[in-house]
Amino acid sequence: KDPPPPQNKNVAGCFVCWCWCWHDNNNNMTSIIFRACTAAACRVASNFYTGRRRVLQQAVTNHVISLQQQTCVAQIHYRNASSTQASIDNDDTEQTHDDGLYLLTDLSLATQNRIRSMKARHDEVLRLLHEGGDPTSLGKELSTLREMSAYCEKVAEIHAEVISLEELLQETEASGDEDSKDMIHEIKDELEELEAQLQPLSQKMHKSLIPLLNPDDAEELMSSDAVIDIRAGTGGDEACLFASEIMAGYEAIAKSGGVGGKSWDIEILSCSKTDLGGVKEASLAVSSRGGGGGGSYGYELFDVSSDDKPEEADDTAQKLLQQLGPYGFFQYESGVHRVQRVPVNDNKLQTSAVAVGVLPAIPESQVSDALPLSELKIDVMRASGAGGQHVNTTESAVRITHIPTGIMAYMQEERSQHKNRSKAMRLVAARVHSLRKQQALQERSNARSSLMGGGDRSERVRTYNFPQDRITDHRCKVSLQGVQSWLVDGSMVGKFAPHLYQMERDDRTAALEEELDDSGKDEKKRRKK
Amino acid sequence: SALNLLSQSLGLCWELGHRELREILLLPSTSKSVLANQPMSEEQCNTFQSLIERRIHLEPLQYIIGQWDFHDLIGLKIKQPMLCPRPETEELVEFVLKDVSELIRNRGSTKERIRILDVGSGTGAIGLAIANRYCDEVQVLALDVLPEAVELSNDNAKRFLANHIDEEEGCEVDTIYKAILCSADDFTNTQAGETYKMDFDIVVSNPPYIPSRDMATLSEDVSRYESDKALCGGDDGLDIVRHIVKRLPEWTTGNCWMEVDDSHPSLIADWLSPGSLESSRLGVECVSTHKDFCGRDRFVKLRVL
Repeated sequence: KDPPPPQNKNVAGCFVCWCWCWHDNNNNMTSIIFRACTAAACRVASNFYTGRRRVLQQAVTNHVISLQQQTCVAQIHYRNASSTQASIDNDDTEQTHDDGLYLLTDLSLATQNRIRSMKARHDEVLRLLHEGGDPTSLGKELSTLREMSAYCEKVAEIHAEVISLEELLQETEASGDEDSKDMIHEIKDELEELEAQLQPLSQKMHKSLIPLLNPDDAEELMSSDAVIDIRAGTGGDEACLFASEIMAGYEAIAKSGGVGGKSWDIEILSCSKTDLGGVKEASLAVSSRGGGGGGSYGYELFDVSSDDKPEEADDTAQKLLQQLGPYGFFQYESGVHRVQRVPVNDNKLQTSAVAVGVLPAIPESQVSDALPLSELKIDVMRASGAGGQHVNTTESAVRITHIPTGIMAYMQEERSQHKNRSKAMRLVAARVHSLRKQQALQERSNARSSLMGGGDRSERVRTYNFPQDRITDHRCKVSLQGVQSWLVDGSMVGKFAPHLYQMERDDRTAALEEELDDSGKDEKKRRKK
Repeated sequence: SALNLLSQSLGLCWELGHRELREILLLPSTSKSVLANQPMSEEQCNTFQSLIERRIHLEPLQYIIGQWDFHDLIGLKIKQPMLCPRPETEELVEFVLKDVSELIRNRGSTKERIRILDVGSGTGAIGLAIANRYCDEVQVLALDVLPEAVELSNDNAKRFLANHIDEEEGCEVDTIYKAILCSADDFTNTQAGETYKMDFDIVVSNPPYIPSRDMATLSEDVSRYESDKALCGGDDGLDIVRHIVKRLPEWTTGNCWMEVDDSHPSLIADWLSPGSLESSRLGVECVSTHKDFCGRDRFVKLRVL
């Protein structure tokens, strides 16, 4: 018989839960159904019962347990040798799985299902690869799923051990020997040990569900080169001086490849200086020459095998930084940097600002595709008369304007017009791409994080306070002591970046949980109907 | 001009010197940079003075300094009377580079070099810009009628391709780039001395193309210093072009890119239009014409039938 639906009543401090049991003709329990008003109540009830199942298992050999907390229904199915059917279930979300994921009771069913589908997709991609599918795209997808698949296999391993131990336990308890008491103890100890392994594992899986690098952006973060725009803001000369110091810092850290990796190439695309040696505005191109951040796909930040040692925060940060290419490394420098210090020729504390913008650079080979000539207006120094061999000119300034967006770059630094043009194109391409990306981000439905795409460029992101000798990032609220030492070699970039990546990931985690919660509520609504 | 000459007199770095000086120029006289405050020595003053004198007499900057940048080549040696490379010619190089990259993409795994013929090399600019980009994949043979041009081209080749030489692997400068003394007309299979295989993949040329009637209208810095031979292409400017077209089927079965006078592309498109009598007789047709960055007709692409 179908269990009646629960009443929507919750007494404070208590929960209400109905429970039905089905038996087959041989009086063997085939399933128990719990139904409650809230998922939480259901979970508690089924956990309680799961703990009790060993008692029930005495009479049962093959069993499968599934918990569907999403719909506030928990069903424990017992499939035994004599039953011909799996027990009654009245909704179409029934799932019976042997993968042991149900053991991870702190993961919601929705999360378990998501993990399950990741594992299934992993196996499918593997199969497709063996059948001769496209190795590049499938390979990449595989590497994003590899970690989760490894975790699932670990869970399955533990699950298999648990099952066999429980069987052993049954037999031992059923035998009723005197010596079996010790044996029973041992087995129960082992089972506890195995359960203890599951908690950290499920935490890791939860984290893996939401990788440190946003999958939509991971490729760009790991392999794209960067164009860095620096512009002195309010504060006159003092701001320009600070701009030149920030620029020098970025150049220094880029030369050491961001984090002790291979050194990155720095090309100054344009730079206008002041007489005091300050910088009014400058554009740098940072390139890894195709090296990117090296390493694999950024998802293997947690070692599956060493599940005893918790990862040091520093270790994770190091691993993250090594994965990042120039764009990924510098992206969170975008924004307004504020400096407070006493200028050289003054004794009053002054506040000035420098605006930094970090854009992904378009590889030279893709520039012409990204910017079709029809969208560009290219102005060059025109030779008078018939041009060509008729005239010998050494002036070679180029101005390129992208008509649809109005973005423009002017280049006159090089002696060859070809080079001026190429540099101007790269600048325009990077800026147009960045603009388009910002627009796309705003349209993306899950753009909840304020840190997406490096964040808002006009936002004040950091303060360098010289009197207090402290650099503070206002987004992650982290402060570093000793402004000069962090600034002079640009190492503050590598220090702040991991925190900001973690923040962005936390945003994504919250978004995912909301999504899973929502889908749970939707399911509940559906059932009510 | 003055910035470059001053940079030269002070012995500043080729790439950055003139930029540093430009910054100082744009700043108030209170500039604190070391360079701005260093007094010039007498020798430096004299050098600068004499260089400026030459420029006042309209001598091309490239001749005075002895080098200039072209395409990706930084500090290409340039000497009288060879033609100073023009910015339009950089575009010609880009056309050829595109063709080369397509050939590389389509040819599979062969290790054979793509062979390029540069007719009228002058300083070697065109051929070297190509060789510089694809040093492992191309082999350039350059022709010129002036011994000084041949020598200068080979000099520049050593300068830019030195890093790519691997004596052990049997890769010398010659493997990538070589200039020889020969006219377009004379370059046939029975060339005296070494025989060169004729099946080039691409032919490129910036031949002398100024019509005689225009020679008198050239600005003084061009007419007084650059070689007539490198500039004048006869009455209509197409003399050398005609030689090249005549020989083209012997040299290649592929494409030929040329930079020409702005009056020429339409004439050539007519003369060698696909299906025309001349085109069939000569075995060459005009595939397309292209404008330069100033919007003038400048380039033609020919194909051997």
